[in-house]
Amino acid sequence: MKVFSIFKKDMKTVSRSPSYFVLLFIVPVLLIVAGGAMLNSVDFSNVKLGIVDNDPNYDFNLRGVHNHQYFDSLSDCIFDLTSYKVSACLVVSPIDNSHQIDIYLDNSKRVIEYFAKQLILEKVMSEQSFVLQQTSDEIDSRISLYSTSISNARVELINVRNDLEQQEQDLLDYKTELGQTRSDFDEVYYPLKNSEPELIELRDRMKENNDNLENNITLFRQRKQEIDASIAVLRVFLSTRLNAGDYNYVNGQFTIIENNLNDIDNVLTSVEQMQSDYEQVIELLDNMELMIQRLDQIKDTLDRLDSDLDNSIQRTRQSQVRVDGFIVELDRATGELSSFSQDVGGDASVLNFNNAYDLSDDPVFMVFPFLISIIITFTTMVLSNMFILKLVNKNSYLRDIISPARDANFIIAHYLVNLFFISIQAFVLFLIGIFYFNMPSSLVGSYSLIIFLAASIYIFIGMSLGYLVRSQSLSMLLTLFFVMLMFIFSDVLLPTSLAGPIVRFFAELNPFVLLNNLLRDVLLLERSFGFFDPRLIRLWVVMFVTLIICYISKKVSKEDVMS
Amino acid sequence: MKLLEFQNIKKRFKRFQVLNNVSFNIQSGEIFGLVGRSGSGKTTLLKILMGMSRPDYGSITFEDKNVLRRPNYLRERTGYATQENMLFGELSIKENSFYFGDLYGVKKSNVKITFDKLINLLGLTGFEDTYVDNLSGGMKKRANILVSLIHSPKLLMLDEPTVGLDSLLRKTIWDYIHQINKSGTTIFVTSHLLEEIEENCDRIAILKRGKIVAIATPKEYRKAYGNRKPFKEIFEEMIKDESI
Repeated sequence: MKVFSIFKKDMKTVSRSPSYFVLLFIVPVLLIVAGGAMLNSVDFSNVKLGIVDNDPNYDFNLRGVHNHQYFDSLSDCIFDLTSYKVSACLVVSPIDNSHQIDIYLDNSKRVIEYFAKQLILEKVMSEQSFVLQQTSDEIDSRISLYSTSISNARVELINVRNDLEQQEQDLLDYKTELGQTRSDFDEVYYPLKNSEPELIELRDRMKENNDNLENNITLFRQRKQEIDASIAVLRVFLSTRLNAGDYNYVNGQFTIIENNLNDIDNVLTSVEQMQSDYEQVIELLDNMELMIQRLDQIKDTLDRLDSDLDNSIQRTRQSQVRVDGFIVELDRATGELSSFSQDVGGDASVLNFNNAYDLSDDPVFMVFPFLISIIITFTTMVLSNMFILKLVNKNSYLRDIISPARDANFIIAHYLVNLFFISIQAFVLFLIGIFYFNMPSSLVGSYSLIIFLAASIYIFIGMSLGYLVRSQSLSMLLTLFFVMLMFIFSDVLLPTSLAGPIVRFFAELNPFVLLNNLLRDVLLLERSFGFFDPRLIRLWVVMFVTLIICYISKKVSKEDVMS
Repeated sequence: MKLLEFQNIKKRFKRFQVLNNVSFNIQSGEIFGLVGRSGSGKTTLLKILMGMSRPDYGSITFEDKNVLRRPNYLRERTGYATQENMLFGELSIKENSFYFGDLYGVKKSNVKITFDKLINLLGLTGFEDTYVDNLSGGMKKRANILVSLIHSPKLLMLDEPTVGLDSLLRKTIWDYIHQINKSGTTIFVTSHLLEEIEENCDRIAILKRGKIVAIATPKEYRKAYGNRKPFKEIFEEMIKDESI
């Protein structure tokens, strides 16, 4: 009830003070009217251009730019730019078969320069996008050609790889067959090779035996001849010495010996015939040695062939790997070409400037949320500060302090009074939006919540400054300083998106920025927001922080007044 | 019966000892005057009493309760009217009265009864709904006293209640103070107008350099000085006397 009593008393004091009415109603209405009048008169054709045409034969297109003036030199144009008679200087110069247009903007007016550059950039970009499209088509066609060639090369390489695979298979088959032949060969070769020393020994022994036999036969025949000769001599001798009978007997014996010898000779002849066979065997053995030598050569050849086959298979496989790598490289090249084609060619390179939102063209409506933000920020801070200043500089404040009522009662009541008047102001602004800009009335809920949070923060700041600094001029200066600070750390001067992380952090906590962004979302875009929208949460947090600061300020103020 | 008692109150501002062992009491139903030169510590003592400042040492009891620990106990039972108008100029006397009555937790019906009584008592009938800013100086003083009494305090503290008023108005104000006192409210008044204090107070305390140098009835002061001198001269002598 104490809160209500204080609230009622505050309402009466405020309503009986004309200065509050000026601040609450006349100032906002004047701001809206002034802002509306200024923005309604905005027309780009009002911009006066200075033109320095260095090519008299060139017909510079000035359609739509009816407000322009020709200058003889750039310095003359810049002089008029400096004295605000023209807004920009355009210097047209011939270059080869074309023309160069140098644009000089007043860069001391950053915002105008920014928008002018943006406008020009938009025009230039649309021109360049056409050229870019043509270039892109050409590149696309070349890329398509290269892509086809690479594709053909790839097919060929795949064929080569298949051939290599087939070749490898043939070689492997060949190797298998060779292995089988080698196995057969080894079956023959190694037993033969193992018996070679024995064969050679046998041959040598046979040769030796043969030679011995031949020598013995020869020796025997010599001995036989010697015996025959001896017998003949003996016959002759004995014919003379022996009687006929004896002689005949001896002669018969001799004949028998001779016959035996002849038999032996015949046997030896047979042996000699056998020796021929023997020699044939020896020759055969010789041939076998030769054959083993040949077989050795064949074995070496087979070994070499096997090694060569292995090498060939290995090389074939290496070739396959190289071909595979080459195919991968070709695939990568194809992919890169395709990606490059997508990047530079086709639809990706078409530039279109579009509006993200379907908004009204009315410039006043476009800045309406911003105007509301400024009005609410300015009037709320000044009102709450004025309110507390009036209160604390009265002797009656002492009576409030020495009363048993708690500080919280006063803070809540003063806050509610300020909020009440700001709510009326905000409601009037909303009505202007409904009737003047056809804003849907269903936005009132979101609008009220945003205004409530932002206005509460401003009230607490204004109240805190009123409590802490009782000097009216200093307190008001500080309030205006805080208002300016909030404007500076916002999009008013430059977009905060361009600012560094620290400045952006403060801007994101700036109630003016939050208010402006949320109002823009609600009023312009008619976009709803969730209860846990980060911007709303930030507003709640800042509101509670400022409430605590306000409470502390009240305590400090009380101590100050008492002392 | 002791209503309010100061015991050994000490207060120092930096090197300056503003109050030095101040001890005295105010009896229920009396008009008690505190006098002293500028800077003697009168205002500091009143601020300590109202809980606006804390003493370095000592205690203050109101109805035997330590009010330094429970400042609201004293606030609810005392009224305080400074020499400046402590009312809201944009509100009428009635609105001010009801507003402060609410702050003190008094029921509206009781406020109305008290208000009707006080408006007659203080001679403000017909000006109930007049904004305070539109009242004359004397009326503002009375309105200020009226609002200080709206919660029916047991003790009314008046700081220079007649300063800036002409002699006729001063007398009128004192008449009202007497009427309030007769209605049962104890009065604790400070003033530099010593004739008024002598004439209207039951007891007078003299504060000199932060010390109470004398407490007595006006009669006792005169008796001590042989009934020859007015209180003003006695006060001057005591102030000048370095031995005290």
